[in-house]
Amino acid sequence: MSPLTALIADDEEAPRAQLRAALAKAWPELGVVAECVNGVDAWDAFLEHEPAVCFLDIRMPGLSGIEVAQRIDGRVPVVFVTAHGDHALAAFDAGAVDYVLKPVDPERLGQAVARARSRLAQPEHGAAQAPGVADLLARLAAEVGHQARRPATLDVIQAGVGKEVRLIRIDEVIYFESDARYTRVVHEGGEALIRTPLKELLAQLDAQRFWQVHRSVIVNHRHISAAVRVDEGNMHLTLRGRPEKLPVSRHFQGLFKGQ
Amino acid sequence: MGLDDITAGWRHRYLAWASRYYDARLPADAAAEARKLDAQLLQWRGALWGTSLGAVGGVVGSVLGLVGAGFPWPLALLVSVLVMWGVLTAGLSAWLQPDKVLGGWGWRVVTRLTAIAFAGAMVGFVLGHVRRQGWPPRGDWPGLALEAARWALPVLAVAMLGLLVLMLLVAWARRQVLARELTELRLVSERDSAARQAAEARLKLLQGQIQPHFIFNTLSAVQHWVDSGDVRGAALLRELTAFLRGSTELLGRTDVTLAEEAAMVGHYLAIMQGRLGDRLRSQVHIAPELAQQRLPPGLLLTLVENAVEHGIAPSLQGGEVQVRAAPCAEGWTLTIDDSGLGLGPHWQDGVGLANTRQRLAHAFGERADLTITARAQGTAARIQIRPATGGAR
Repeated sequence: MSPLTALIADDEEAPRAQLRAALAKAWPELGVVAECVNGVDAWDAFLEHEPAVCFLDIRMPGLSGIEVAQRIDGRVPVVFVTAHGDHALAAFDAGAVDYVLKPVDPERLGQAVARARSRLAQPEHGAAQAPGVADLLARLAAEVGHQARRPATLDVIQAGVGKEVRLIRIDEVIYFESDARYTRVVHEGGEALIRTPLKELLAQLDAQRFWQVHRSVIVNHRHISAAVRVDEGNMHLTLRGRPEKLPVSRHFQGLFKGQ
Repeated sequence: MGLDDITAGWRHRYLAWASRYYDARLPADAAAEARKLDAQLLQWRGALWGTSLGAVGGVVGSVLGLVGAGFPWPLALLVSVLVMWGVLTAGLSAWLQPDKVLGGWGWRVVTRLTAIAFAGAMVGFVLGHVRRQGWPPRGDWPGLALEAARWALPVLAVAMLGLLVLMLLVAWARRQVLARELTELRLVSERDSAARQAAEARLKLLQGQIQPHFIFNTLSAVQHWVDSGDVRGAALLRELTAFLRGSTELLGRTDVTLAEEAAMVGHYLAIMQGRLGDRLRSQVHIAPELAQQRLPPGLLLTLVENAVEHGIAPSLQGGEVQVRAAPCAEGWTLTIDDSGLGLGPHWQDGVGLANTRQRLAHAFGERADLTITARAQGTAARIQIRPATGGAR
């Protein structure tokens, strides 16, 4: 059996450290594989490490904890760790999403840990998320979201090429791909490299139009021509009028189900 | 069944009838007033009996008088009851709707009543004449009518004048009473609403300032640093204490000096810097000659909090908050610049800013402006306060 792993995310150092210390006592065999300082890191680390359970602060830069939970979509138990005594939170008292208030009380954390463990013990825990949780998350997102300013949605990408800065309209972009320290922007007029990491770009893109299909690939869905299943675990996309094939990782294969 | 039960029964029946009548016929305020009057009259039993006895006495006297003047008994009774009813109705409507009576309506009613009474008196005279002289009346009809009119006219003139004077007097007295009550009510409600607005603004401020998530996030950091023996715990707790003390003391006042407000802002920024680490940098500079300027408490703090909460905290890179108070060509300015997330495309004043504008207007009227603008990176809030006219020029 693989070791139990956890992801924790809080944009403040002290509560993050406090949670880590409290978890070490409440759930000693749990290994914290990622400590994240914002929402975009948390989502990226989730895709990278595939932890068994996530502890997320709600108010975080980039993506909020709620948005990260929406992307996790019930695949693993999520526990919100928050200073909000929000009414909407009370609805999550059990199931795929739970919550603990800050400062963390060891007893309450113990309960959340017990619930997460019993959920993990059920063999089908990852199969589907409890009905209604998506709605509750959407409601909570609306409630918390209206108080928070969000990064503006990108209209134009500015890419430095030699001595000039090229402006690439966002709807001309075909896909984005992580490339070491840069992000490669493939667009109708060619290619460019930008410094903004893909995970940060994700929070500034219209999710209806730009689909993340892999930890390192975001594609404009208008350019997808087909999703091809290669074998049990592998899938790739072919694009309209372009030769390259883009990988679809396991987490995103649910986007392409056929009807 | 005692007398009390009987009167109670009648009172109940009367009130039920009257209530429907008032609702159907009177404007809402007059209906309420009429009900109040009823309740008072009915409760004050002497008034009820007095009014009733007075009315009965009036009718009896009038009947005797009319009979003496040659009216037949039944007619005298009818006329007397009608007249008494008219007087009571006129008095009551004058009381309930003085403005209507003092306007054209009163005149119209009085003229109409007069016409009816005139006709009645003439008919009465003719009937009396017929009774005395037998039917058909001797003499010519026009002559008889003329005589009747001559006889009825002075009676009528007196009756009409009396009724008119009665109604006008009652209405006028009532209007005085109402006007006094209205002025009193308006004064009370003005005072109440001003006090309520001020209290609401202050409450909103207190609630807004000491937000639970601010307190609990800060306590969460304090808790951890105390648990782990980190020296930052003691420093953060000290700043939190100073901030809370400042908030509870200053926010309860009507105004504070810029120096006091800046000190509170300093504690707030120190707390947030402790929590956010190097994601937040800040500078506060208050020109020394402005230190004693007065402004509503929490005004600057709210804007600084906005800059941190909505500008710096949600930004991946963090940023800097600069607070400056400086004299300018016309008065002085207070600027809060942040290099955070900036205003979104659909940005608009939130509750905090609306409250700030309201309090600024309350304290300075036209002399103060608050503008929020986008910077190349982040947001700028600027308050300009111009000197009071007279002092300036």
